[in-house]
Amino acid sequence: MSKRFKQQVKQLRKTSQLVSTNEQSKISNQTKENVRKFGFLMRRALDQGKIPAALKNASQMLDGLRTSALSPKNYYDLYMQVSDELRYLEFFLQEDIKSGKSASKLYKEVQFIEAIVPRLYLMVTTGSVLIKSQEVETQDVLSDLIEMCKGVQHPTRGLFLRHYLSQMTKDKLPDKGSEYASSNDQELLSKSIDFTIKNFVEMNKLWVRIAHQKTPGNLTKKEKEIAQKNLDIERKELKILVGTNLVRLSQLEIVTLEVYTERVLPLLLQQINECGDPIAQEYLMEVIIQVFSDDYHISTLPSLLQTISKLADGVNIKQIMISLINRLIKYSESNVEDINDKEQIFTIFSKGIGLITKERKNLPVKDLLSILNSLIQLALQLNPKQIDYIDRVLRFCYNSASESGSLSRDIIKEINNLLTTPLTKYNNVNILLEFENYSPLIELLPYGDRRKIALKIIENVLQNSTYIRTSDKVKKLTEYVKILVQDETDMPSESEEDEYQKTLFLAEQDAVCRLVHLLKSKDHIESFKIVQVLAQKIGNGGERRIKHTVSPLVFSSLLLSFKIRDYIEDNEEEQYPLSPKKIFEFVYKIVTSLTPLFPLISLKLLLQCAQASDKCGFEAISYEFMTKSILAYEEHVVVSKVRFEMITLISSTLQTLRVFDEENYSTLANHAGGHSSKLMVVNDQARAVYMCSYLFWIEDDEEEDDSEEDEEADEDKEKIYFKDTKRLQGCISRAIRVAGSLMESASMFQLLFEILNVCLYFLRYDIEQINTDYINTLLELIHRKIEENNTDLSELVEPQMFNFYKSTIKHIKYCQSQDETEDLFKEINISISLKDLK
Amino acid sequence: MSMFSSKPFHQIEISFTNVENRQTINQTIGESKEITPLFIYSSGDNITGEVKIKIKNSKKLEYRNISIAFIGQIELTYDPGNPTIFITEKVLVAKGGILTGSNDYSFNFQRKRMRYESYKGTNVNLRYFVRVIIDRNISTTYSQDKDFWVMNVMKPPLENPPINIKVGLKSDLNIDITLEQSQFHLTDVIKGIVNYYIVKIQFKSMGLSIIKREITKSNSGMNQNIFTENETIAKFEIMDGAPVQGDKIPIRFFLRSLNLTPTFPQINNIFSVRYFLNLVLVDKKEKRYFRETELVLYRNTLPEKKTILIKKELSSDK
Repeated sequence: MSKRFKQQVKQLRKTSQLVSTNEQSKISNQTKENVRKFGFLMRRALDQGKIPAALKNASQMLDGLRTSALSPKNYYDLYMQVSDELRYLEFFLQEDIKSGKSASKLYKEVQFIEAIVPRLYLMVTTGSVLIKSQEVETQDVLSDLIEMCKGVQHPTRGLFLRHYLSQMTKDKLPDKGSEYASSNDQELLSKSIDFTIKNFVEMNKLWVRIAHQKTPGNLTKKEKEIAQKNLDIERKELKILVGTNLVRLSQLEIVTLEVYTERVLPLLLQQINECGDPIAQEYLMEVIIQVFSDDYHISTLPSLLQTISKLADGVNIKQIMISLINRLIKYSESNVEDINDKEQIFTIFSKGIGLITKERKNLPVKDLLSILNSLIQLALQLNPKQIDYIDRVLRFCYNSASESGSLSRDIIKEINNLLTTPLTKYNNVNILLEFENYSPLIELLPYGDRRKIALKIIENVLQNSTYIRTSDKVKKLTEYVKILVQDETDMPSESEEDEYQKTLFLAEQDAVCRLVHLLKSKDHIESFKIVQVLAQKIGNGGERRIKHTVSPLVFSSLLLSFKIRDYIEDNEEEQYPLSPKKIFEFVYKIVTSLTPLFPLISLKLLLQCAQASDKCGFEAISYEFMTKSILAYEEHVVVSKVRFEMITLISSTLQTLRVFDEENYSTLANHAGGHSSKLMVVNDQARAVYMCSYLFWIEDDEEEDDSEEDEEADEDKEKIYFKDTKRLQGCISRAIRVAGSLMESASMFQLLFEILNVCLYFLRYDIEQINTDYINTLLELIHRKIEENNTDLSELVEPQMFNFYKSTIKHIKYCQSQDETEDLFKEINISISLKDLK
Repeated sequence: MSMFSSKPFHQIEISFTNVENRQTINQTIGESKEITPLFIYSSGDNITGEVKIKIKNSKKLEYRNISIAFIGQIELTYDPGNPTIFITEKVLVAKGGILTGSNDYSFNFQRKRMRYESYKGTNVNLRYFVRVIIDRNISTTYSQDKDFWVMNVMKPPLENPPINIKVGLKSDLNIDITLEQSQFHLTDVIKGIVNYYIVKIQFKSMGLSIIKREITKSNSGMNQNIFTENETIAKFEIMDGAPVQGDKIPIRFFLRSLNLTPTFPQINNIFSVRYFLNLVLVDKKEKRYFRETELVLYRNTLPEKKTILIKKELSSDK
């Protein structure tokens, strides 16, 4: 490991233009020491008023900046130290000039210095003094300095020198209202711009030049690559020096929008274009985008885009475009009213991107898509109502992506973003449904991503409770999310799914189910169309999905049937083209066709339908649903436990229905009772049978007694809807008998206790067969059974059951103690039971 | 003065008159290291002055003639005993007598034509001086010199064409150096530009140097000896780093920072002093490329009363 590291270091040393880090810090310290020494001498000479000596010391101090051995970072440290000293010098010379000395002479005299780097630093320093003295026109000094600085062509030294020039002149550039402008003459002021741009251009050239420094010829290819990398790092460390000029330009008052558009930007872009260097182009475009104000960008978009389209191959166009677009997005967030021509901005961008794709054939599709994604964000920001803009972009994305053949992970990621952006921005899937090109883009994605986006869409609908109110839209939505609604050809087989995928599948189906309830119109005819569309889609969903999704469809339809019923009633619209009946017919088909595959679901839904049609007053339909459910029970339910559940469900549903005449009801109740008594497991049989007893004592509902009209109607009705006390007693007696025959005492007692409660329930209705004697007999039976076991009840049953029985007896006792209770309870003999309970 | 003579008991003092507004130049005279301020005259000036001869201790000095001479002469340092006098004028101020005490004389050389400037070079000096000669019958002649300096202001040249030098090296280098003019006065600024058309060599720096070339001819003996002295009197860096195609590097060099004389094309057929500008390019491998061109220098003004020799103070040590 360490050997390899050493080797790498060795390689780096060999390839670096500079000396090693150790050597660097040695040189750096030495040079800094010299700077300190001569800086000190300079200050002392200044304090003694010896200007020539001070300038000599300054020049010696500046010799330190002639080094080639330092990395940009170390050179920067040195530069900072030197410029501190020079600031002192400048201050002192300025004071000296105030006392009557000639700044021009000073400026001339420093030019005698033999070495160019110290000479130019001192020229800049004294030049600054000269400008302040106003002996000479500011712009003459500036243009002289900028011209003479050409003498330093070494990249690092030149960059720092020019940076110093820029630093020293920044507060002296003639600008509006500046004291160094002898007039506000436009021509004169524009010299400031020329100066800054010139300096910028030269700095950029120097900067770019670093890249072209020749590496030693004796390197291997790999070493050359490392050397090149080092140069790039070096360059990146220096970039800020170049960028500062652009910051300077952006700070000039005189750079108005007009000046920027006509003079500044063209020159900057020309330089960017001409330098042809990827690192520079990328950085400078980025700086331009960041430092100049947004309204400038808006006014110059075409030329910016034109330039971007022509940037060198290595430039990360994506980053630049995104920066530009993001700036405009940010700007429009707060200034959307100020932007006049929103449409035009979009058009310019569209054209610009078109141009970029034309000029740059090798622009990666992923980058293009990333740019387009930003463009969509901009369009959404500028004018979210302009759906066709976004749709056009989506089209463009689709074309680009589909032409690129197989999609890389990056491209897929971008497509996902493209789809998600408008989704989350609008938070209204209705708008999404207006796009022509959304669904095709989804189709480009691989299976897993299609699933994710579909789920996202549905979740968005759910989170925002977005109602989708037309069948066309629903149709389209089911296209968008069709991967969750039906099988796809590229779907992996179920056996390949792991636990996570199985859970995911359930979550998806759950989402689809919840979605169904948001798909409805206020117009019932349209709603019916919607459920029809849904039925068709869900019907094609395959067994795995149908078993989840059919229920909400049915429920949604049933709800619709109520609405239609109410609507017709409320509006007395006899000619209404839709009746609840139609809905039931529609649902009937769905639910019955389900029976062979999913008998239990079908059965339960049939019962629901029976209830619904009961509420709507359709006797024949309810009867049909009930018989179908009993048939489903008979033909398809075989597991005995399930049989118990289903038959009790059927009988309890039947209890709630009120639409039947006596004969029909009786038939259905007999079937329910008959199937209950045929249950194989004794336990279940006893329980199912006593539950059937309720079928034979049905009171009428009392729900519609709040309006007067209904009350009138009420008078015609009997209080009791159906009764057959003989069969009622038959059920209970049979249940007691069956329960009594049970071998297992715990179950037996539980059943007997339950039946006791049923008897107590009916006791209130004063049914002749279920009287006090009957109950006393049952209590005796319980006592006897306890005795048979020769042990205490608490030993025979779980504490829960013991308490259940205790509560029941307590209840009886309580009722007996109440005065107002009719004598019904008084005669119940609970004395033995109380003993049993001790 | 003869080695046999006893210690002189006379003293000769020469002084110039009408010099209140005359500028001076600090110079060493002859072998002496002592710096003396010398009055500056130009051709056509009247050279006037006074001579005081003092005889000490009431002694007497017998003489045949006392004369005062104005002399311009060229001395070769390697042949000191054989100066060439190119101009002289002698005035007899006293004839046959005995000097005692203090004696005053004056001289007035009217509108002297002094076409050569004074010069102090490596191998040659051109001097002007006033000499007092006490000529005695048998004994040694007494004499005393007093130097002055001559500088001549010249008219600017009628034509001063720019200098254009092209430097090419196969297909690796093609540069073009333009100086705005070819003749410069001594406080002039050399301005110019270096255009890099083709640069395939990685340079490190570019500099100027000013070379003074003094050529002397000795006429003594049968053979004529020619000595050439090249002295680099200034180095000046004009570029740091490697230029690329299209770069234009400015040249600006202040001559006033140097001690220069005008170009002396041919002085009395004995010596010449000429100046050359040498452009030196150094590449990354320390290889040097030269290009030399002559600069013709002329004097357009006399130096100001006080010359700051800032050059010495400012030029860095490296």
